[in-house]
Amino acid sequence: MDDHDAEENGISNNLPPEANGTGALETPQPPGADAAEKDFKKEPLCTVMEISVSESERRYNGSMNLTEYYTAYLIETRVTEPTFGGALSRQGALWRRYSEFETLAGYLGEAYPYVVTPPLPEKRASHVWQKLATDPFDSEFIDRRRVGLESFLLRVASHPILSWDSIFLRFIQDERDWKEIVTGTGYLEKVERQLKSLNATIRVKKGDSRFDELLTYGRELETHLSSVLRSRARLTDATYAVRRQHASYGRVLSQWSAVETQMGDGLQRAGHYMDAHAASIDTFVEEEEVYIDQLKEYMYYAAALQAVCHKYTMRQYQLERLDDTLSQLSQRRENALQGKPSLMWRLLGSVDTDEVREMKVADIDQQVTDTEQQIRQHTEQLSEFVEKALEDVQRFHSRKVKDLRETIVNYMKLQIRICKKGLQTWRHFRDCVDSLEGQPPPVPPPQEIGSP
Amino acid sequence: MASPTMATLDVTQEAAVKPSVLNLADESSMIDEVNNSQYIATPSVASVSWDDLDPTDTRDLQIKVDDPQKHVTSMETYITFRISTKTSRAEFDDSEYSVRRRYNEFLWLRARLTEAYPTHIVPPLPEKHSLLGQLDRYQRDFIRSRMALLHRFMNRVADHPVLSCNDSFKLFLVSKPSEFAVHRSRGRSVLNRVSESLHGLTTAGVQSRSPEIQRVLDYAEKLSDKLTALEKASSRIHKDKTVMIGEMQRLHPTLTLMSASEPELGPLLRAAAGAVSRCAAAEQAVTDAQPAQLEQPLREYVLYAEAIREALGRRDAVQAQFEATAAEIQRKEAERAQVNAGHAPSGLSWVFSRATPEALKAEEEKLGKQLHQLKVDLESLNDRLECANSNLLADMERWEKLKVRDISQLLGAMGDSQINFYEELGAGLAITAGRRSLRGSSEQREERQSLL
Repeated sequence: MDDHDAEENGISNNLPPEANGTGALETPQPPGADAAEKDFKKEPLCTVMEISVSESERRYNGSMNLTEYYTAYLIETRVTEPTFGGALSRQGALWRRYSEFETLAGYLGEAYPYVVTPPLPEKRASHVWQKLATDPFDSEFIDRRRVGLESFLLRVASHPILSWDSIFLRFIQDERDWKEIVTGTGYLEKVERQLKSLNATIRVKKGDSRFDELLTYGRELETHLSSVLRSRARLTDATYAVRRQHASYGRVLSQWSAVETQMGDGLQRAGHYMDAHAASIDTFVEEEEVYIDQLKEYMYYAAALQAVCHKYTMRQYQLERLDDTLSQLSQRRENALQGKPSLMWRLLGSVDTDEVREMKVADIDQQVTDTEQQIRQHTEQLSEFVEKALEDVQRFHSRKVKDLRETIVNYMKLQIRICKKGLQTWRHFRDCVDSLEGQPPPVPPPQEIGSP
Repeated sequence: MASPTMATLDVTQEAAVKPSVLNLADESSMIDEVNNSQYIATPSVASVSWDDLDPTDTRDLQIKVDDPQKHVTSMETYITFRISTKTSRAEFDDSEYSVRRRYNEFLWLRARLTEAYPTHIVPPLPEKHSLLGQLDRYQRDFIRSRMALLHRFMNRVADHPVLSCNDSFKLFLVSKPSEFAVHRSRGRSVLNRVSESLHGLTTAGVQSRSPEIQRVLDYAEKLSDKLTALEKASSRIHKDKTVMIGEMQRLHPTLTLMSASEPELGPLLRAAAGAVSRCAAAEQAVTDAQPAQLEQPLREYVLYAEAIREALGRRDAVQAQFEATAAEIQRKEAERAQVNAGHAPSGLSWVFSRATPEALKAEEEKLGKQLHQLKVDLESLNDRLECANSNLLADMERWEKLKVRDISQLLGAMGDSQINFYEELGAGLAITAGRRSLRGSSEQREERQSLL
């Protein structure tokens, strides 16, 4: 086995074990519960359990020299289907911090490589164009992150395969030893191997073109969403600035009204509406951010889609390398049969004895058998991967269509509301202006005295 | 196009020379744009062009300033504007006139008007150089703005019962270039003398002003402040809106590209792209209207505040002269009292000559004559001062009414512009969001079910 060589290159001929998704927790179960659970597993977990990330709390790890502050999030679960017995308790609540979510996401990505894994919200705002709260301790940022974490858990819980994973079920219900159990699955090593393999440029000779298309699509989606988000951020900044200038209008009109006799009242009221116009933008921007976060989620989803394609490519590459190995072996067998071990023959011109020849051939035959078996295994697993991956991609597509449609329509509805509010404000302004000229017609001016 | 025959003519006669008028159809620069631009409506002129006779404009003197043309001579390059006049006044021989004038000639006219009516508020001209940075960017905007303010100036003068009867004004409107040049050179030396003497006096200062006059001065200062602040705010809004529009225009192609790779979301994304570019176009229309609607009227009134202060300055000059004369009378009275008491008045000439009774008597007579003259002067100055005060206050009263009308039109236009914008945009968005084809089939099913 060329295990060591492969390890060095970060590519293993040993395939990562796929999770079998039975999801049974190692806690005492009421009798007959197993049977009941299996029926439920036809549908994702969310059909029988409600999950929410309802609160956040600032905590600190006091230690010798350093006090580390972090935020903890409260995960609450509630079983909604009375006959479901697979939960630890009917109602549960526990606190987790962001890094634990990261661990879960990393584990799921490795345990289910063919799944387009739901994305986590960002650790910190990594995009420079975002001028919003980036401080991990800013309450606005924390709350948006809380919403993102809840969305993550709900997406996992809505997934027919992921939602029944035992590690996930533990994550949302059971604090005991979770870290140790996860580490015990050995997913970390696989993550490292995965990262190493991504760095190497992998060329496959005859990959499935569907994955090429998917990769292209994933990149396009990511690029488009990134462009949209960038433009939108600049647009909102400019819009915000324009609105704020109307507060200047308001202030000036109000100051001006103090100087005017006839127009004073009207100007004062008009100024008041300019202030209102400026102030109303805040709530709208807040709501807009919700939709922006939803678009951002799909930008990361697109990255997850690309990751699945990479995993396919890696597996295809491994298969092709096995094929290469096989053809190398058959060549070596030829040489061995003729008793020509390359090095010795070239140096000394000696030929193997019959005995040695037979031994070598037998040895190679063993390798060939092993390799052929590996190839069979690998091919089977690869086609299973392809089938499951394409199935999950379909799921992803239909979810994406639904989610993005909702986001876009909601965004438009928000814009309509902004228009309505703007219209109302400016109509009031117009009324105030109309009242400026409310005096009776002018009296003719006193007699002019011409210039001397 | 006649070539310039310049050799022996001096500069004051340049209007008599036929400079080459560039046919600007081939120049892609500023002037063509301004030629084709809309006639800039002002509160006093309701009609858009002479061609469609506006029945509501019943004034007996209507003036239009438009059609800027670039003139290139070997000495300089300058721009002239067409001044078109329509009048039914008896003192004009014809009912229609059309002449071309350049900015310097407007300056001349205004100088004549302030010279002839020093204590009236003479309407302001646009500045020689632009102060606001944004006008320097495109010369086209600068010329458009200058032309609009020149138009306002002419109509303000035409509407003024006293100023519009001035001879120089009439000459300005009707004279052909050669006649006009003659008149201009004739008036020049007089102007210089008068302005110098006035300038010398204004630096003398006054002791105190009557409350109404002081109020006018204070008001003019405050108004200037407030309007300048409004100008600044609207200039910033203009900049931010330009950024906004740019980003919206960038969103359109991104969304369109995205729609190409999303089969189910395609129609919705294209509709969103359409909505975004409609919004950008609507914003552009509002921004384009801003100079004529808001910036030019504001600028005029800022300049008007300055013109009011100038008129006050000239009035102050009369008061200063009055006060100086009164002070002189007091001094002479004191001297005469001294002489009557038999003392020599203080003065260098008396150091050497003796204070004989004859010398004292001669001095007393001289003082008497001087005092008599001074008192006559004082009375005429008193009349002048009273004229000046009542002229100024009358003009202010007239101006106040104009101001209320103009300001309410200015703010009203701002309001209307925004109301139109939000109405159009809101309607467009509502149609887009409501369109059946954009919503998912599942949403439509739900809707149908909810209706049952």
